[in-house]
Amino acid sequence: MSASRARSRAGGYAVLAAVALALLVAACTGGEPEFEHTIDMEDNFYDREVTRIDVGDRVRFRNRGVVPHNAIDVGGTWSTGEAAGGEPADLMDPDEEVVVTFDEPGVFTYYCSIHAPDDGSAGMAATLVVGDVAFDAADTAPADAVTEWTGVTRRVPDDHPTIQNAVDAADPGDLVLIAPAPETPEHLAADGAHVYREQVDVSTPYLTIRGTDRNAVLIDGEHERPIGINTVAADGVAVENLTVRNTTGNGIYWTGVTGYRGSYLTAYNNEIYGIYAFDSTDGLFEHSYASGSKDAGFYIGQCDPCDGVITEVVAERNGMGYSGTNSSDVYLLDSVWRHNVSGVVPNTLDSQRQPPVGRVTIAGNLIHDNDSREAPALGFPWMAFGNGVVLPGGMDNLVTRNRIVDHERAGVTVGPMLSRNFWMSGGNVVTDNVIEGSGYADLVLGGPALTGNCFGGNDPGRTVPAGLESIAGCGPDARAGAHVEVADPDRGAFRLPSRQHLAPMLSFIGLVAEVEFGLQPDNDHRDAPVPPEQEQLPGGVDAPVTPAVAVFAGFDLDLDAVEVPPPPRAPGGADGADDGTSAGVEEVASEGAPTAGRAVLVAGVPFGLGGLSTLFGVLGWLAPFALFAAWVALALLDLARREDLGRPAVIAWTAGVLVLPFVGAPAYLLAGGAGLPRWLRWTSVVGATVVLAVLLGAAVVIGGLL
Amino acid sequence: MGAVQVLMGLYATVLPFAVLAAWMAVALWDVSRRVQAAELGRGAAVGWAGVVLVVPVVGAAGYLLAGASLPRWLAATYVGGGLLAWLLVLAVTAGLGAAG
Repeated sequence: MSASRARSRAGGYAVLAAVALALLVAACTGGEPEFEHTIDMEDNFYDREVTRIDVGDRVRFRNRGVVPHNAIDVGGTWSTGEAAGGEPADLMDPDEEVVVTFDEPGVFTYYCSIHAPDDGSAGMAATLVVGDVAFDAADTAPADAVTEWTGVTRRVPDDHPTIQNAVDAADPGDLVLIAPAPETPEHLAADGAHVYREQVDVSTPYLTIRGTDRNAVLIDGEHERPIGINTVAADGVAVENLTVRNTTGNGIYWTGVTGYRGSYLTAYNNEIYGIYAFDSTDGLFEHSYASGSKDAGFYIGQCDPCDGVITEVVAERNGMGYSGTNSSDVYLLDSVWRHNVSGVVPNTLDSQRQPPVGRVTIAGNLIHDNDSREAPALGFPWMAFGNGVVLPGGMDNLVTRNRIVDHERAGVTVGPMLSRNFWMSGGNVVTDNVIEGSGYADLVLGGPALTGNCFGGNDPGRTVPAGLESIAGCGPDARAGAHVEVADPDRGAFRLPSRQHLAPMLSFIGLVAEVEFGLQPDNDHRDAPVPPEQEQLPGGVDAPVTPAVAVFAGFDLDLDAVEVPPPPRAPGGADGADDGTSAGVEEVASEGAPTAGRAVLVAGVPFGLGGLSTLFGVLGWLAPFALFAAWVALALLDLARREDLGRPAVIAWTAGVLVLPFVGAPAYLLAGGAGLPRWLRWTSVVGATVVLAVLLGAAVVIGGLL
Repeated sequence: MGAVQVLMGLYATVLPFAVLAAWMAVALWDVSRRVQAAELGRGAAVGWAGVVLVVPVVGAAGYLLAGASLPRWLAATYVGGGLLAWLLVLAVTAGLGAAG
């Protein structure tokens, strides 16, 4: 009788388990994707000025605003209203979506019928380029933009004694051409170079500011002036072929502009940022070099969408190679990020507007040895120390076809960001990278995290949590942005909640505490090495003069053509990458012991990397985890020993212990009449909890985290 | 993602480890009790303890279901109930959208 009942119960368990599993699978899997692109309608603009798609692609128009919108082709060939089965001018309510399929190639200007004229010349209008058709990006420029050179060249020092004088005299569309500083005593710097000792403030739009010799035209902040070239609210300014060094803030800076470009620039030993765009859209940094900045070599921040591209640049010996706070729609392509404290760090912070960071594409980059203890760094970069790519609080970012090697901590870390708010990451896709030589793990998904983060095709070594590409695999149709809807069909493979790990967040908190304790290395940016000579602007002084107008639309963005770059050259060796960026920048891997697997992991907590990460990992993760396991074990052990309870009571208490999250076991131990000694029950539940809370709280408070 | 989803996701992560720890604790306690009651020789006890400690998951579960002196309904409750509780938490977590 007893055996029969047990078999019956076991069968019941099996049926319930199958039902639960079926529910789980049904909740986590999806079908075919229904669209390839999304264009969001805000109040009152489309989120992309220009969208390029292939013939046959399906575009989802989505009203993210609070008032109705629609999208109508100026030529009348399509509209969201007709696609939805109605009239062309039918409106879409907030949160409504319409998918339009484009089977014919062409350039389509479209508009919202209640927020733009029907010729799409102003207001809520944008352009859709379907297929491989001729398209002049300048056609999308603002009507008053100066898209061509005026033919006027203002020469420094021949026509104007200072750069500032030339800039102030210039009209929109002029070229300011700067020769090396005169060899006079007033231009002589401490190191014997002749430099321009000025901060150049640019308020005239559409200028092109060009040096005649990238390595000889030097603007020197002399560790006294905050910025080298400071473009404020002047659209379309391009800066080319010169060097800015030794400022107390930023090297070359744009803020509040639409349209900017930095080409063949060198920025070194500028204290905070090298080449920097803030609150600006539609820009490009290319063929440039930045080193010796405490925050980041390159930075694009506070813009959504930024429509910014950084390509074929080199950043080394900075706090971060790239940092971008709350910047969305940024592309980091075909560049080298090496020997920084941390590599590429798009991030979310409440200290700037437009959080969170999102839709950043990191592709085709060589990212290596970003674990420098010799580079200058502020506190923030140190929090990301030893990582190739970190996406703290990032949404919908894509990391693909990069080579990411030799980092003391992780190759790629996706995790949360603690600012005034707690920002979790979601919808990030990490695919087809070559990642190796990581001391902690090649891939890390730190929790808590939102949905849609996935990893695939990276052939990683160690991951945290283990087996990340299996438990958070991408599936064939995964794409960045899949978090947007839980039911999105592109969410990819089945995933367990355990795909994310809390230990990395505790490690991060340990690094924060190290900053608060002042334990991070304190390197002076003024001591960073002077970089070698860099590649000149092709064509030199005779290169075409092109104001920075419709920069992003004019950039030939072809992600399909991006490939994984070759590895860095071994020290003293001849093989490896010619980084293909700035000439004279020798691509060499770090010397010393290999970093791969340097840390021993205990439940995701690194031992052997030093610092406070291990301490916080133990106090914040391992100890509470073990304590909870001990509670469950004590409770079930006690239930097994009790003779005063009948079978239904034991089963009910067991269910309570296991199913009620975190409180079931301690509730039984304290109030369930357990047979264990009272002192043991209260010591293990209340006493241990209090001691752990006090220890962790003390670490948090002493570490300055509160 | 709300706090409940975070909580359930975390619980779904740690629960299987806690259940395994409980299985191991109950199994080792039972082995000890059987030795004291002279139901089990020292060699067999060491062998069972080794299986429980070294063979991941199935060692402890296998001992409880096949070797323990516990009532069979209790062993089945612990092993089957542990698995069922985990699947239930997983299902709830997935239903909340935290499993994607």
